[in-house]
Amino acid sequence: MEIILILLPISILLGLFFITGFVWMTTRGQYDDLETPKFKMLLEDKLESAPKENRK
Amino acid sequence: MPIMHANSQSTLDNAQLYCTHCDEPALAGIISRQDESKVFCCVGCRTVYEVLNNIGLDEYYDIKEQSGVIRRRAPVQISEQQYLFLDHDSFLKDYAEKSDGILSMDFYLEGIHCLACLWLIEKLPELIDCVVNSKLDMEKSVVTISITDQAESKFSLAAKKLSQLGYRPHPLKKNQSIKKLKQKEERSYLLKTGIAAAGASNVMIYAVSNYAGASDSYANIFNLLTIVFAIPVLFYSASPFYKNALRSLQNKTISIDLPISVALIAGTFYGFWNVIHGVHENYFDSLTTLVFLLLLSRYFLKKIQEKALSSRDFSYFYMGDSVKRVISIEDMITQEIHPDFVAKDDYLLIAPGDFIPADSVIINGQSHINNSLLTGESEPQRYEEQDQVFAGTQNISNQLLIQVKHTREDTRVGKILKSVEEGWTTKAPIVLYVDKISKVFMYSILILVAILFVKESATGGLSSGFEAALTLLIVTCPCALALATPLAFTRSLEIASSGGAIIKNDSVLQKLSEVENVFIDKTGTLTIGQLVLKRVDNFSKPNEPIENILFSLCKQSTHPKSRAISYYCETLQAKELVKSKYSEIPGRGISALIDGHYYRIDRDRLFKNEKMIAVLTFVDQIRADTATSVQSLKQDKYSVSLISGDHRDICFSVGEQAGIDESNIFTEVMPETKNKIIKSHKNSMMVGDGANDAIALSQAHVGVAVLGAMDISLKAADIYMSEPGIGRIRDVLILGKETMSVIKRNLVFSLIYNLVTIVGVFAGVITPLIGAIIMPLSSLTVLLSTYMGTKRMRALWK
Repeated sequence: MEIILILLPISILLGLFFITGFVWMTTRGQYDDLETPKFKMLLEDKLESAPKENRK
Repeated sequence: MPIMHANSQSTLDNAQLYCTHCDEPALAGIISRQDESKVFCCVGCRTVYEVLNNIGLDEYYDIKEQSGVIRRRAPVQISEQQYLFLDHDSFLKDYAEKSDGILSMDFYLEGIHCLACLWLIEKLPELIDCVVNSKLDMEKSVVTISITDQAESKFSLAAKKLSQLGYRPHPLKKNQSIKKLKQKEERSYLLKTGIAAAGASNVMIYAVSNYAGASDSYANIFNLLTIVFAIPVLFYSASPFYKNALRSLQNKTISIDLPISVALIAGTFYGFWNVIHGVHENYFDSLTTLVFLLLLSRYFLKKIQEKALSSRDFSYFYMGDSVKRVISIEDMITQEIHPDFVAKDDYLLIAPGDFIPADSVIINGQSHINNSLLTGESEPQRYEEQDQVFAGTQNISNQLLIQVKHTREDTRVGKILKSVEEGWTTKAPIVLYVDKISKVFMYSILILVAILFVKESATGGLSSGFEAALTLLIVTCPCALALATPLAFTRSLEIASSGGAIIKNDSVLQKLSEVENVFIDKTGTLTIGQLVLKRVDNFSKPNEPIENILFSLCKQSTHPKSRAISYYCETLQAKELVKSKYSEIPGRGISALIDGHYYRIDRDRLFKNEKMIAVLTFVDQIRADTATSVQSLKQDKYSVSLISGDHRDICFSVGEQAGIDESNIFTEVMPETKNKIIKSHKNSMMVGDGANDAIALSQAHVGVAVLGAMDISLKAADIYMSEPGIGRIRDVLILGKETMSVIKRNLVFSLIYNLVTIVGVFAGVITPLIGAIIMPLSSLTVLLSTYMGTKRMRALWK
C-alpha cells in the first residue's frame, strides 16, 4: 500500500497542473470564440482543387 | 409563340439546378459570361462569382464544396455604395478603436454561412494593402478589421471590397466597457464551471476510496484531500447560488437557489465538523457534483439563449446603410452619413430604392412608398408633400426631400421592436408552475427538517439530530426538480437549432405543444416566392423581336414582375434601347416612347401604340414538398389554413395543389384582418415571411418565419427556420409536444424520488452513505431521461 504515498502526490500534481492550465487559457481568451477555430483548422493547408463539377 | 432561349428553357424545366454562389434554386437561369456551365439565381451572385474569378480567388467554391454548406444564405444584393462615411473623423471617433498605430472597427456581415466565407474574409489583407488584419467570429458573423493609421488607409476601401464579395458590411459601434464586462462575465462563468468539474472529479476519487473501505490513516488523508479540492468548488464555483439566494431573501421570495445554498452551506459545515471529529463520512462528493451539474446545465442554457438573443445592433435593417444629409438647403449640397448620425430636424435626400431612416415629413417631392415592414401591405402607396413617412419603409419611385421628426427608438418601428424585445424574457408557464411546486416543496422540507431535528435530538442527542436533519436536507435537495425543466428545454432548443430552427425561448416550446390551427402564408412559403417569366406569346405581325423593348421598359423597375422580365431578357442577351417619356405608376404599369412608338406594359400585356402585341405568363411554382407536408400536418389533426393578401383565383389554385380545404382558404386579406382571423382561432400558429408578415407573426400564438433575415425575423416571430418552405413545421410541432412530455416525466420522477427519500429518512432507512449515493443518481437519471428524449424526438430531423 506504500505505493499510494507516491501515487497520491502525482495525482494531485496532475490535477493541479490541468486546473492551472485551464485557468490560464480561460483568462487569456482561449475559449471566447468556440465556433470559428473548428473551421480554421481545416484551412491550414492549401486544399487540393476538387474536380470542377456541377452540383447534382 | 414561345421565344425562349434553348438553354434557359432547360434551366426552367430542370428544377434541380442551383445557384453556384448561394445554392438557392436558380430559376431565372442566369449563366456566367465566363463559364457556360455555371448557373446563378440572380445578377448579384453572378457578379460576385466573376469578381472572385478575376482576383484569382475562385478556390472559394472548392472550399465551399468540400465543407458542405452549413447554413443557407440569401442571394447577394449588390450595392453601389461607396461607404465614404466610414472615413469621417466624427464617425471614427464613435466606431473605431486605436492602439499602437492600428485602427480597428467591427462590422456585422450579412451572408456569412460556411468555411469558405471564413477563408475568403481572412484573405482581405492580401487584397487591400492598408488592411493589416481581418478576424472573423463566425458565431456572431462579426469581423474585426484593422488598418494602419495613415492618411491613405481607409475603412471605406475594405467595406467596399466586402460588399463586392457579397458580404454587406454594417459597422458596429464600439462599446468597450460593455464588451469587456460581458467578456469578463463569460470567462468567469466558464472558470467556475471548469473548476467545479475538476474539483468534483478529484473529490470523487478520494471519496470512492473511502467508500471502498480505506484503512484509518489513509481515510484521514483522503478526507483532508476531499476538503482541499472541495474548497474552491464550494467557495468560488458555487458563489452564483449564494448570490441568487441572498437576492431572493432581500426580495422576500423563495428561489430554488435558496435550499441549494442552505444544503451547500450546511453540508460544508457538517463536512468540516466531521473531519475535525474524525468521522469519515462527508458529503463533499455529492455537493461538488451538484454544483458542477447545476452550473453546466445553466451554462448550456445560457449559450443557447445567447445565440438567439445576441445583443446586436439591429437598426440597420430598418435604417439602411447610409443616408444623404442636406447640408445647405439652398444649394442642395449633400453629405453621406451613417443613419446613426441622423438627428431631429435634419433634411435628408431619399433616392428611389432607399430606405427611410427616421419618421419624417415630406418637404418636397411625390413618390410611392413601400410600407410592408410596418403594415404588411406589399403594394406601394402614394405620398405627397406634408405627408408623414415612417422609418423602415422604402421609397420606390421618385426622389424625396424629407425633414426628420423622430429618430431611432422614438420611431414607430423602433417602438414595435422595443416592445417585442421586452417579450423575449418571458418564462414558460410550466416554469412558473414548477416554481410554485418547488416553493411549496421547499417550505415543507424546511418544516420537516425542523421536525426531524427536534425528534432526533430528543431521542439521540444534539449531534444525531443535526445529522438526521442534514441528511434530509441534502437528500431532498430539489436538484432533480431544479434540473427537470430547464434541462429539457435547453436540450430541445439545441435539437431544434442543430436542425436549422432557431426557437426564441422556453415559452415558445410550451406554446408549440398547444397549437391547434396552422395558418400559412402563400408567397414564399407554400410557393417558391420568386416570379419567373415562363412564356411570352408574341402576336405582333410581322413578328418583331420584343425582348429589347421589354428589357428597356423594365430594367429600372424594382417590381417583382419587372425583375422577372429583366432576368428573362438578360438571358437572351437583350440590349437596352434609347427611350424617352419613361414613367412607372405602381399598380398601373410602365410606359415609354421607344423608336417613335409608344409602348406600355399593363397587367401582363405589352401594348404598342395602344394595340396589344404580346401576353406574358408568370409563374410562382409551388414548392415540391408542400403537398406532402400539408398532408402530414392534417394527419396529425392540425387544421391547416392558407391566408394571403393575394388574388382569390391564385390562392385557390395554390390551395388546391397544396391540399388545403377550400373552407380554410382566406384570400385578399388585409394585414389588419389577418390579425383578426388569426386571433379568432384558438392557439394558432402563423407561418410566413419574417419581413412582410411581421405583424401577423407577432400576434399569433406561435409565429414562424421561414423567409427574410434571421435577426429581424426573430424580432417578430418566435421561431426562425433556416430551411425554406413548410417541410419542417411538423418537426417543430412534434418537438414542442415531446418536450412537454419529457418535462412531465422528469417532474414526476423527481417528485416521487423526493417523497420516497423523505419517508426513508424518517424511517431511518437512509443512512448518510446511501443518501450520498442516491442524490447524484437522481440528477443523473433526470439528465439521462432528458438526453434520451422520446422515440419521436430522436426521429426528428433525420
